[in-house]
Amino acid sequence: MTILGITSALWLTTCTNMVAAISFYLVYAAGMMNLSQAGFMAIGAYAIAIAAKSSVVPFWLGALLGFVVITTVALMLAGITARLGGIYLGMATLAFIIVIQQLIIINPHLGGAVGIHGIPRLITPASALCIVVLVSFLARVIMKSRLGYEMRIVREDHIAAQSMGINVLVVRLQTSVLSAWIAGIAGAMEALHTNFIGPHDFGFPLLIGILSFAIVGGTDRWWGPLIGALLLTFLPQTTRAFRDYREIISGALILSVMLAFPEGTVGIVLRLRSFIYKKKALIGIRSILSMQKNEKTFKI
Amino acid sequence: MTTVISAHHLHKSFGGINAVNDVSVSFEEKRLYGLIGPNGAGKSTLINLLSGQLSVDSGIIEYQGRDITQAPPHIRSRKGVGRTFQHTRLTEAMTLLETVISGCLISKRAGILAYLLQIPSTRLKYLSSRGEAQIILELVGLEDLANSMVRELSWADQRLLEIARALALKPKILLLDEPTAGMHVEALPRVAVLLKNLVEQGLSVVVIEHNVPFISNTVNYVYAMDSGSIIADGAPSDVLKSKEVIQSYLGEFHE
Repeated sequence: MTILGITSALWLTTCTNMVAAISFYLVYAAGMMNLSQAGFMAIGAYAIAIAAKSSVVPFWLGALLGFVVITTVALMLAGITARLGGIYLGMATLAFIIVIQQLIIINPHLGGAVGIHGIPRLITPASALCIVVLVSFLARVIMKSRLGYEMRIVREDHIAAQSMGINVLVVRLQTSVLSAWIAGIAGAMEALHTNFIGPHDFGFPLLIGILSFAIVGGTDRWWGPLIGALLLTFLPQTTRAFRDYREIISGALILSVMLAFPEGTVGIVLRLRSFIYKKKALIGIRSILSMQKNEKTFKI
Repeated sequence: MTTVISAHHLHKSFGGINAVNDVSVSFEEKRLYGLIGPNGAGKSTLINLLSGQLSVDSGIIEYQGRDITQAPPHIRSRKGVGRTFQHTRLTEAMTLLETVISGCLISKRAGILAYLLQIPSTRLKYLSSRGEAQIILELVGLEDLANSMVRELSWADQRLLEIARALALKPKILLLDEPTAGMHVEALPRVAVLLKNLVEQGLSVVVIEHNVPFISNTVNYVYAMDSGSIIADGAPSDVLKSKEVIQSYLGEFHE
């Protein structure tokens, strides 16, 4: 099935990637190099997949259990890694992803290394788009709330944050949990549109993919990684001739962004905005000056 | 005159160095204090101990009569101990208004879920924060730049913005670490007037300063430190003439 010439599978993958990108944005915005999204996507995906396939477990119960597990695990992970920063947090959360993968592989009830087949397709491009819109709205509201301000201050300088009355640990916990929930949603979306999930879908390649959305899209605004996900999922696929080279295209795109536009699409859009604003201001000033000139020479 | 902060017999050492050695100070409301001394005297360390960034090895710190020696820094800030830093720690990617608004929201404990659900009392908190932020920026003299980005500000304005942000949390005492450092001489009167205003409105303000004329003209009471101890305290005119203080800055005087 195609919509606007693009297969529904591609729409769905793009939507999933956009939600995953937002999940990463939240922790990055708080200054945490937390790379655990793939792990929480795995938990969300498996919870939904098992519930969807099972005749015993109703769908909503699976979703609820997935939610509870994600919350608990996110709190534990954030608590354990509370004192870590920068690259050390990155390494710790990377290890977390591997741990989740291994836990799935050794567990026969979760399908082991083979994965789960035959998951019913319960998601449509329309509902996926709705989810993207809802999650985007959530991200925007969070950034405009007190938590958003606190996150930005903690990111910039956690000592200044303390002197502002911000409990840095609580802010990091809240951000980690919110990010994990959204990652879980992305994982569930993934499970419901691809017939099959396996532990290897939620490992290092996925992590690199999410990071590349953030790099290309830009991390200064919440919509940055969203645009990055859109570009990097669509662009390599749209031209039939290039489809075989899509990995090279993705790589080239990421590289050129890092070299030429390190701020990503966010940087480009913001510069464009201020450029247009300055042009308008300049036009405004010129017209005021010319009106003043005309006033002086106008005689009744 | 009520005492806002009183500290007794504070000790803090790093390795073998006694950064703060048996220091006792007391700060009252409606007064402007100067904390002077050569570099390395322990002034910033003392401020860090009072605001909670460092924990004391021994000693007691009391805020409005209550012991806060073990309280973490963010709790002390919420209770009313405000501070600025020697090197500005501002978020560059915000506007001035947003910087001060963030302080207001934190002090009002404006809920996040409540904001999501647009509960009226929380909406009020967010709206009133905007107004308060405007007023604070006017107090500090930065209202014209309210919508500029922090990274576009001059150094002096950044220092003033830091004070504005600290004010957003409604402190009872302000600990300012070299607020005029690096400022152009013409910006100094603005700071002096601001500090006098704040003191008149009931705050206790403590300033670490190296600028002697600034101290002698604006401050009510001076503590002088050297090598971790208080070597003199009292009215500016007395302290600045004291032999120990002059020696600490200029070295031993040999006839």
